[in-house]
Amino acid sequence: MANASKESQYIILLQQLEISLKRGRYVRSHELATRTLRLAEKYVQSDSWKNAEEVMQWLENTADRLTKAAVSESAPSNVLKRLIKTVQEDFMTRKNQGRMHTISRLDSDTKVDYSEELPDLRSDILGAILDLSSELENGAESIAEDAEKHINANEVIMTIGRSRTVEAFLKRAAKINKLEVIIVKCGPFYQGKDLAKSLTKSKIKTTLINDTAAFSMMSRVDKIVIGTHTVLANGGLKAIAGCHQILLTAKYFNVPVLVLAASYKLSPEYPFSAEMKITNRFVSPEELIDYKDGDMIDNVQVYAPVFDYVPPELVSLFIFNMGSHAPSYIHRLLHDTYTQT
Amino acid sequence: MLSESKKSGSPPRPPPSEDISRDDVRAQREAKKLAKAARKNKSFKGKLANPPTSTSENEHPVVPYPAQKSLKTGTTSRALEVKPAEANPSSQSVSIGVSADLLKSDSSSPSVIHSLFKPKKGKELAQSNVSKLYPPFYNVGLKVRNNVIRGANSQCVKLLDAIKDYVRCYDVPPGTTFKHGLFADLEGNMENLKTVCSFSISMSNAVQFLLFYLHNMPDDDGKVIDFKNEILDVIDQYIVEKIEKAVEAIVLYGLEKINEGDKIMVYSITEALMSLLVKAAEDGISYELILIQTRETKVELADVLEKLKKPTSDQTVRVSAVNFSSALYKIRSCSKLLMGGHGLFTNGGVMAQSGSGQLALVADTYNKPVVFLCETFKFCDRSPLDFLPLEEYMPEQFQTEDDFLEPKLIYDVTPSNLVTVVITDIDMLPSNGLAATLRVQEGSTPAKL
Repeated sequence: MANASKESQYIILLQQLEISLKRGRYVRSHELATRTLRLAEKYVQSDSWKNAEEVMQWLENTADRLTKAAVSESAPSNVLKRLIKTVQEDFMTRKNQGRMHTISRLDSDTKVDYSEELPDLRSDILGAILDLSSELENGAESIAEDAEKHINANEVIMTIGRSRTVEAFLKRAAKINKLEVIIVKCGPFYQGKDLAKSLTKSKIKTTLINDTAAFSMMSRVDKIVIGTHTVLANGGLKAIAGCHQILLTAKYFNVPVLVLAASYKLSPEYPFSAEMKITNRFVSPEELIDYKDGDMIDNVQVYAPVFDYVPPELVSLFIFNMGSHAPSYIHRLLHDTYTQT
Repeated sequence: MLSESKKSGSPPRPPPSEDISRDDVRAQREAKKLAKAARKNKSFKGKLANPPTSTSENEHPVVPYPAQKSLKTGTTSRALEVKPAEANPSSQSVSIGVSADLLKSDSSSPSVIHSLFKPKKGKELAQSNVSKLYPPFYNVGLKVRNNVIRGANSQCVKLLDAIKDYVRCYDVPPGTTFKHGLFADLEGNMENLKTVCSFSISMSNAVQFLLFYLHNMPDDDGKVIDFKNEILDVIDQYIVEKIEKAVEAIVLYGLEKINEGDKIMVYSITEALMSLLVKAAEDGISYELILIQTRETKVELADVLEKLKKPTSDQTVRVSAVNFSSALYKIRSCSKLLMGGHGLFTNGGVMAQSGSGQLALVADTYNKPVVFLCETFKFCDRSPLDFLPLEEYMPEQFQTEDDFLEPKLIYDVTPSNLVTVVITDIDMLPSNGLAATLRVQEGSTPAKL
């Protein structure tokens, strides 16, 4: 009885998550990541699996399923794929317990049989999930700890759109040094005002400008600090629309760019083809065209993509919650976080 | 010294007996805290202006460690000095805290960015002057200010029409000649009008031209009616030559640049650009148009579509619109970027709608030609390196109650190295060749604005 209810619990969670993704009922990828982690926790707690191989299979299938539900969101599948690696590692540690050579490389030639049943594997995986969950919660704070290192006194910082991580970062920096912030509002959502209000409350002098004015103001900016939606496998970004242009301008004016990203944003996906296409989302262009002009735009195609691809050359430094790295180092982080499939 | 800090509302001091018995380190820490609180509560000036005369009220006769922060700007020493509290109040005792405290959160020092947008002295709206303004001018001014008359060319034409009206109805005041009287009155009116609405470059140049012409008119007595007719003719000629014919010339040159099957990205729509697009469609050239949209240009999109109604409906011209933030999404598939200019400068910079600099950079990065269309009468004898000198053309910046600034930047300057060519009514020129060309053509240095 208890088993059945546990099983149905995770199935229900999975269905709910899928529906939210399909309908676009989510705001931040942080929320998606936490929900996915809870789902995985419920699965591991249930009795639906016997050995590590079944867990990994389920994780992979669920990751595929959630990606199909919303192609542009990578946070759920990132979390699940990370768990695959964690399960493998836990399995190997358990198996090699007591043996002298405990360093077993996961990419070694010998095929590992994951279908071996290990008794304590469940508690191990649950522990790992707990660690990951606390990492998720404290992501913004641990990134903000680096704020003092990078932001000096009297600097003018530019940021794009609204990012919770950047907000925490700037507030932390403002406790130590006086700084000013320019917030750039980018379409299609133009979400800068809330961030401006929040920063002003923390006694940071804020200016809110449109993305059209970014070029004019760039010469006065000392650094750019932005958040991103996803960090791609080549070190590039999938960030909000408008970022690529603004970062191009930053390169033109030689302004360093810091990207703050929590670990669940690191994705093993590459941008497709030479044209660097990314999985994008298109929303209603109601900001651009009034509904009352509807009959005039019968023959007009209107596009409002949400994301932008930013090539790795435009980023100076990534700050993850596990440390700061250059874009060229991302491949190593990927290797440590995800398994080679 | 310490009581001074106490006055400013710092945490309360313990009674003296406990104080004396405290450790060195603990007293230091306490003093540091007080100094920090004192700094937070008082501004620099306040502290300097408020000499520590309150030591007479010092309730703690023997406190071994000083807490007063050094007020002399420039002192950066970090040494700790031991001074008794009743020591002379004007002694500049040295700060315990780090001298970088000078830079710490001090809400009274101005923001670098906010001070860029502060209205300059002497530019305040003089309400009383509006009453001295000739009513048709005020009319035009309000329409320009509220964006009812859109587009630099139409604004200029409407202003010149109002000036013609003024000249027709002008009565020479006693004691001056027609020329001097009209010059002074017209200049006064224009100054007053500038307080109602911000002049665009086209308007400023037109007024400048007229005043220059007036200044050079012969001084001798003649019939007032002859003078008036002369001026009206000059204004008409200006409108026809510099504005209407110029647009036609630009369209002729521009047609060479629009080819069959082209994909053109368009921003900063002016009359010249609009006429070019319409003419190209009328000539049967089938091209694709990608309009870059921002929230401010919603109305212009409606205009464009209205004018291009027939070509779009029979698919000669295929139009798509993209948000400014996603211009990069489309730039690769475009063949060129076409923009209308509001002004040209001596250093080759082009003034256009805010965002053109950004788009020019994007197009340049992907190796697409950046073409500006600008009439020569919009040439301005300045060399701005960025948007700040253009403040006089932009409306007042108001600060919202929430204490963050949201400036409205309408124009910006595209540097000349990002511009491929500027199509003007005299020729197609590289942007930095304009000054030389104009000088040769007009044979004189243009009037400085």
